[in-house]
Amino acid sequence: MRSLKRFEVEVSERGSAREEEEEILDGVVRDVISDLNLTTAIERMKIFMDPEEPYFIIVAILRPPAPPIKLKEVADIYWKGEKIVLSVHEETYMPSILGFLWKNYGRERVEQPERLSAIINTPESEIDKISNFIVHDPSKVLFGNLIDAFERITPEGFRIVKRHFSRSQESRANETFARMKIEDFHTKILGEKEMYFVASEDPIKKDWVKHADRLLTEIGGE
Amino acid sequence: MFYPVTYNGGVYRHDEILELVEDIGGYLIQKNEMQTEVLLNLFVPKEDFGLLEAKSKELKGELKYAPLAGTDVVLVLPSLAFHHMPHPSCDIAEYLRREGSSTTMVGLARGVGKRIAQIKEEEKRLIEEHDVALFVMGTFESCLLEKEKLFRDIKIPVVVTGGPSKLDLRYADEYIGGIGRVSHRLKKEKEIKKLDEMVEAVIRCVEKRRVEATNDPLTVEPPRIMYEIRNQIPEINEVLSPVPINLQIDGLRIKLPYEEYRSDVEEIKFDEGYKLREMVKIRRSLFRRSILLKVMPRSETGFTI
Repeated sequence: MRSLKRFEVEVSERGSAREEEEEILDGVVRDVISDLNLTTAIERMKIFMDPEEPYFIIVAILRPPAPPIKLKEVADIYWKGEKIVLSVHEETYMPSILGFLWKNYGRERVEQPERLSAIINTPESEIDKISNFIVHDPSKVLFGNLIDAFERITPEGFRIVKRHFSRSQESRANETFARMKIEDFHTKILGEKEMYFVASEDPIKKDWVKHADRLLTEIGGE
Repeated sequence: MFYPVTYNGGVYRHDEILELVEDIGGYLIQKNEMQTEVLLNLFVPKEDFGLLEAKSKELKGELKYAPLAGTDVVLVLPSLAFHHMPHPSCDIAEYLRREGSSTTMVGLARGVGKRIAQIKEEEKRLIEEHDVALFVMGTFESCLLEKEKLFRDIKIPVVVTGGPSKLDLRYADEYIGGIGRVSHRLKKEKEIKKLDEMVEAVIRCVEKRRVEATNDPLTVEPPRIMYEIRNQIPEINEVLSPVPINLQIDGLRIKLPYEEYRSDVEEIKFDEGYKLREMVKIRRSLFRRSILLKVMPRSETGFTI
C-alpha cells in the first residue's frame, strides 16, 4: 500500500516489545494524520522514538499546499436590479463570504434571500474586489493542523523541542526557529518543504539533532 | 455475606422483586427504568438467593451475578490532555460502568514524562479512597518500568494497562498489555477483548478483597448503612447528583458537606442499638463537599450486626 511507504515508524528498544510498540505508535500517527486532514499535505514522514534516552524525532517532507480559493471560483457574480448578486455553489464557503461582505459593506447592505445566495447593495465597481476575495487559504489552515498533529503525536512529557524548517535549496544547518510568534512562523513556513522536530524531556543533545538530519536525508530531503 | 446481582426484567410486577428483596434483608442499590424494562442493582444475602432466583424465573426476568456492583473504581491517567483522553480511558470507564461499577477519573498533575513523572501525596490519598485503581499507562516498555514509581506505594489493588503484551511489574497487582496509547474509540473485536480482560482483572482484585473480608468481616455492611442514611438523613434525597451515596467494598462516600453533617451521620441509629460512630471511621473526603466512611472490621469493634 502506498501509504505504508510514505509514513514510517521506528522504535529503538531492547527486548521483544519493539514491534508491538511500533504498531501502536503507527496507529496513533495514522489516527492523528487522518483526523486533521493532513494525508495529502505530507509527502513523506518518518517517526523515530528512543524510549530509553529518551528522545523523539519527526521528520517530514511536505507537499505544497493547494492554492488559495477565490470567490469567483466558487460563486457566480453578476449585476442585477442595481445590486450585486452572488450565487454560491458550495455552502461550506458561505460563512467566510458573508463575514467578508458584512465587514466591508455593513450588514444593512447585505441580504441573504436564501441559503446559497447574497445580494449586496453597492456600486458595480465593487464586483472586482468581491470576485477576488480569498474565501479559503489551505496553507493557513495547513500550518496550524501540522503543528497540532506533531504535538499530538509527540509524547506529552517531551516538552523540550528543537524545531527546524528549511526550503530545500538552503543549508539546513543555519535555519532553526526555536521561538517565534505564530504569525511570523506562518510567513516563514509558506513554501517550506521539509522539517524536523526533536523532542525530549531532557535538554536536546547534538547527537539527536544529527540523527534527525540523517533521517531527513534518508527520506529524500537535501 | 451479601451477593451483588443485577435483575433485568419487565416493569410489570417488578415491585414484587423489590418487596422480596426487602423481606429477605437485601438492598436496592440502584434502579434504572427504561420504558418497559427495568434494571436493578441489588445486594441480597447469599443464603436466600434461591428465593430470588425462583421469583425471577416466575416473572421471566434475568438475574446475573454482578461482582462489580457496589464498587468504586478510580482510573488514573498521567494527565487529562489529548494524549490520554478520551481514548482509551473513557472507553474503559464506560465499560466498567456497564458492569455495575462506579468510576472516577483522576488526571495526575505531573504524571507525564518518564524521569519527570511524579505523584503527590494528596493524589495518592485521593486514589486510596476507592476500592481498586486502574492506571492507564502508555506504549513503551522502558517508560512503564520507570513509571512504576507512580503506583509503588498505593495501598489499594492496582491494575495497570500498557503497550507491551507481557510485562513484569513488581508493584502492580494485575497488568493488561496490548493497549498502550489509542487515538480512536475501542470498537474492534481485539479491542473489546482487551476491555473484557480489564474487567476480569478488576473483578479478581475485588473478589480477593471480599474473600479477605470473610476472615475478618465488617462490623456492618455498607448497603445497610446506605439504607439507614436514606431513612434518617432526608437531605440526601435533595442532593442533585445522580449518585449521592457511592458504595464501596468497605465503606461509602456521601455527597453531603462534612462540617454540617458529620454529627448527623455519627448519630445514625441501628435497630440492634448501636450508633454509626461505633462502627465506622468518619473522615472528610478529598472530594469536594463529601464525607468518607470506612467500616471497621470485627477485630476492631468486637461485634457484627
